[in-house]
Amino acid sequence: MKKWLFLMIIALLGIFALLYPQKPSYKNIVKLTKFSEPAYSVFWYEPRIRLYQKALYLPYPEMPPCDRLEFIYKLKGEDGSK
Amino acid sequence: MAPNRLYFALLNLIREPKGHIGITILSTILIFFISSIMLFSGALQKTILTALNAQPDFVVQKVRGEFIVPIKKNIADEIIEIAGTTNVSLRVWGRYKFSDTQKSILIMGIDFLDEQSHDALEKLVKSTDLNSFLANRNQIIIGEGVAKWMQSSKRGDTLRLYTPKGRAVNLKVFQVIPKKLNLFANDLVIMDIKTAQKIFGLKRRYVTDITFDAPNELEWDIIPIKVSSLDSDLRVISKKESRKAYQEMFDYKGGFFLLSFLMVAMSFVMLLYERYSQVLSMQRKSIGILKAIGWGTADVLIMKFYETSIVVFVSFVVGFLLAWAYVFIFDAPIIKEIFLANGNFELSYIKLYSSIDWFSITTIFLLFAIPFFMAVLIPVWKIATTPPKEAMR
Repeated sequence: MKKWLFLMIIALLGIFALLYPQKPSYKNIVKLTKFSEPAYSVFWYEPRIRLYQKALYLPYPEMPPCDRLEFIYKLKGEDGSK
Repeated sequence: MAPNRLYFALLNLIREPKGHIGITILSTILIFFISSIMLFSGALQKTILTALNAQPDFVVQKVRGEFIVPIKKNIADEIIEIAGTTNVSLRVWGRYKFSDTQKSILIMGIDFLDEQSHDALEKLVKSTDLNSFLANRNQIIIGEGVAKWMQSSKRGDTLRLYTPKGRAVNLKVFQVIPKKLNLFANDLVIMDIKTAQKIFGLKRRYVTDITFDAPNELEWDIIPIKVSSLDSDLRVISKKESRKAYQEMFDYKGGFFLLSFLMVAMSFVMLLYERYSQVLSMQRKSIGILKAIGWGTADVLIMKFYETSIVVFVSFVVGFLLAWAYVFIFDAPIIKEIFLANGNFELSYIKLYSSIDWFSITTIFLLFAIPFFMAVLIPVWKIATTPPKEAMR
């Protein structure tokens, strides 16, 4: 009896897998934000994930580069800050 | 002849289940793990690449030392002038970190007067009172993750953010984005572009980046060159580049998992070889009897091939279907956290494309089945080639 129940569950799963494809639509949210990157739930700053900065170290692409020297390039009045 | 042999192999398996049941369970678990990783990775890739189609064709940024700096709004007017460009939009975005809780939100400032953004907002919000949202600049639309966090941290329906000068900006939640969009909106806070500029301390004539479309794909090579020449340090990122970056990321991660699978599969094969050598040494006598009554080496090998095929097929189908249910019905609880992390806001629910990558399935099947057959048939062949008299001894 148990064997048949197990076989039935597996067969139903097979039919479900073949006949019920999920197709969620993210079109509107992407059209509004113009971002197609998923909301990774990470602690660190993630511009690389947003694909707008190159990864320095591929196995750990979220790693912030240590040689950025952002402060040097932030010139007063030219970066738009008040 | 073949159905008889298959029936005999099945009877043999039923008669002596102990020798195979452990291996079948182990194989099922192995297939379940690898298939769930492959299914999740494939579905995530498919979902992201489909969403990418709705993204603008180009993003223009001003970079200095590979770091994005704000770009002047008037460049958008110059982009409109270039023949072949359309849907030019301004965008202000950035992460805002709450130092007390270490949580960070993605602030997205949108120009709601832009026709395309307005249409998308109408479809997304589905509120009868959209005009009241647009009338008040200090209203926001937030993702489910942010909403839950606001509730748990007792912030009510008002989010207080601070400008770089320390001035507080109180933002009232207008609506929460449906949880079915969590994959893209979990940490999102959508607000008016001017409010976002205030929070990031940007002057009115600056934005984070500019997006635009170029409907004619034949012009996709020349338009970035024209746009780049508008100002110094401009970087134009095309949708093609984003697609390529995603492909590379998924190929790399997929390859990494495939390599891990190969290592696990190799250890599994060694285990199988060892196990079947023991099992078959016990069956040595019965193989000897079969040979004594007239079976040839090929007949013994074919029977064992059928036996193994049943084990391989059952464990593969059961493992794969369980993995499918785990990913698409039960929302892949642990794997989801490995791929998308769980440190910032909890991704309670995500909806993925239930795409099945037949190439990956075939690869997994072949990488699993071929070594499996080898691990079983080689010891069988060794026993089957010994004379029956010696085997029965």
